[in-house]
Amino acid sequence: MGAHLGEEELNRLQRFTERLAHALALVGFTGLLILAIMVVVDITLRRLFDYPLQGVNDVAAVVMAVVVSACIPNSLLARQNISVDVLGTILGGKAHLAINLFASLAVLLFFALMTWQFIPYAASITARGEQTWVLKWPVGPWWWVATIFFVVAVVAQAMVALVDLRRLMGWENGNAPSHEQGN
Amino acid sequence: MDPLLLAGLGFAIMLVLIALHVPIGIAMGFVGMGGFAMVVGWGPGLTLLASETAATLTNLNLAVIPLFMLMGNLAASSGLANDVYNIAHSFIGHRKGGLATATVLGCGGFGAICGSGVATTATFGRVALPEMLERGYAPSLATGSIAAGGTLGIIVPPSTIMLLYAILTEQFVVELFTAAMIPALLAILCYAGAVRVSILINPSAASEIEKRSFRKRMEALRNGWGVIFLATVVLGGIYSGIFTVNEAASVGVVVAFAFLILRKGINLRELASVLVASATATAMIYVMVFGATIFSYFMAVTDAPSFIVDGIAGSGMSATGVILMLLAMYIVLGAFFDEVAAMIITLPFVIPLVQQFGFDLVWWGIINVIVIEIGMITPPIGINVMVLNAMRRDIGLPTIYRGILPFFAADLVRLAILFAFPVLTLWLPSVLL
Repeated sequence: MGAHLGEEELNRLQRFTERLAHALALVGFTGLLILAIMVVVDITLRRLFDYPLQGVNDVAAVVMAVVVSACIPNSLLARQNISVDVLGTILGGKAHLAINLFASLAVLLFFALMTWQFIPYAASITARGEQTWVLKWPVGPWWWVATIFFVVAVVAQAMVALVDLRRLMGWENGNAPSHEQGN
Repeated sequence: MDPLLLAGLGFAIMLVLIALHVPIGIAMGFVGMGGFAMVVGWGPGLTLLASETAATLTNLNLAVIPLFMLMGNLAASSGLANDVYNIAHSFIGHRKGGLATATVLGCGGFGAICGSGVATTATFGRVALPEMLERGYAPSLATGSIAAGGTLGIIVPPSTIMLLYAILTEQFVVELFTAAMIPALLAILCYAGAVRVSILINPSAASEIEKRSFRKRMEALRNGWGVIFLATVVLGGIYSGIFTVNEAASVGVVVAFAFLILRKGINLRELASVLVASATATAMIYVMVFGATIFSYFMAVTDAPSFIVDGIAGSGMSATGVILMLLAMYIVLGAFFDEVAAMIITLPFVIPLVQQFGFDLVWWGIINVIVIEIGMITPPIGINVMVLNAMRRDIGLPTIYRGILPFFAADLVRLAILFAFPVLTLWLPSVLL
């Protein structure tokens, strides 16, 4: 009964992570779409009325970090990475599952280390009071948002690693993330 | 530890990690960070993970890639690929093998608004494949023309791979786009020739269909104005200097978005799907670039690239021999790696070598993209082939690969021509820029 409950909670957490990652990707690229519209408005105003929008490049520089970091959790959950699965395919069976788990843990460790390093990075930018050139927007908060998205990426990758662990140990009943596309 | 030995060891560990299914960008990042840390200390090594990633995230040149990806996906979703195929179909579809040639032309045209070979293949797998099969085309010719035509997505500007090459080698992307024009036209001509050869070998591979009336042709042209408009705005804007590449990409996104809204109305579900698909593909490329930039730091600190360059220069090998060796290396690597990954992994060594032997990096960039194109349709990875096979499980891999053979031969002919006559690549930039 306890194991069953654990599995249910895990599945719930997995679904929540999926929804969050999907929403972040959507928000991120909606931001990119808005940025593209801003650039077009800037070009139009500049060319027709010699009245450019101030600080479009400022906005682009800070927004892009948030846009891209927002895309990463969904990509990790969907296992959309450029990788080579020749050895695992040749070995097959448990060896293949073990290799997949190793790869997932490596990705998890990489993003965990990166996120850990982003915390002092964002803190130092905030402490220095860095601002954008034209609009004088504080840069720090944007990097904190990007860091939070990297934390979500770590949680998403932990889910992927957990799925791979359950597959290897034969604990799961095929509950891969619903939008996992394989690789 | 001797830095050169460390570089060799690092490269070997990276290959082991890649063999163990670790994503290539992550393997490069780990080795880059670890190797750099071994030379300068763990503090700076770990800091590299944040500083280089942050530099990549705020690199506005790189921001062009998600914009072009979004533009391509919006254009595909709004049905612009159907339009370009329809135009080609209306004018040459009635000839024997005309639908396969129309597919190649359509892919070339769609490539001008979509910088991805895989997206072009998937789009034409939906647009052209059912009709060719319905009209009695052999599955081998139908799939071969789409898989090969799909590779045009990365040689016809704007191309994601070319952007990546330009950013990582610090080349002027407009020069690369301009240099790609003649090779792209040559590719379309060679593929049209490959369709003819396929029919000569197997006349029953394609059927003749009814010729469309003049009125129908004009209608196709009228309906297809969208793709012509989008390609003209984006490429015309870049080449004329009206827009920077970033601005052109933004304009392309807005125009493609407007087409989607005008043609299909406001369908939030479809728009969300396009946005998320573009976001996922973008993240995949960025993770690779994170790793590549960290790995480059490691390579630079060990000085391994200049050691290799000096070694090869001292061996007395001719310049042509070096290029042939590099092409052979990419073909061998292509058996194990995705070709884009092979390019990114080897750039720290290859670029100094190409420069040392006096070759133009723009010319090499185009040659490199063509080698990647070949990799997209050759076993064992052949991503375009895999995409088509995933879309139509009833058409086996051997059938698709059989259909690709004439196109593969056409690619080798094109590569040989561009290798022998660099002027074909470098003339246009020298005149226009």
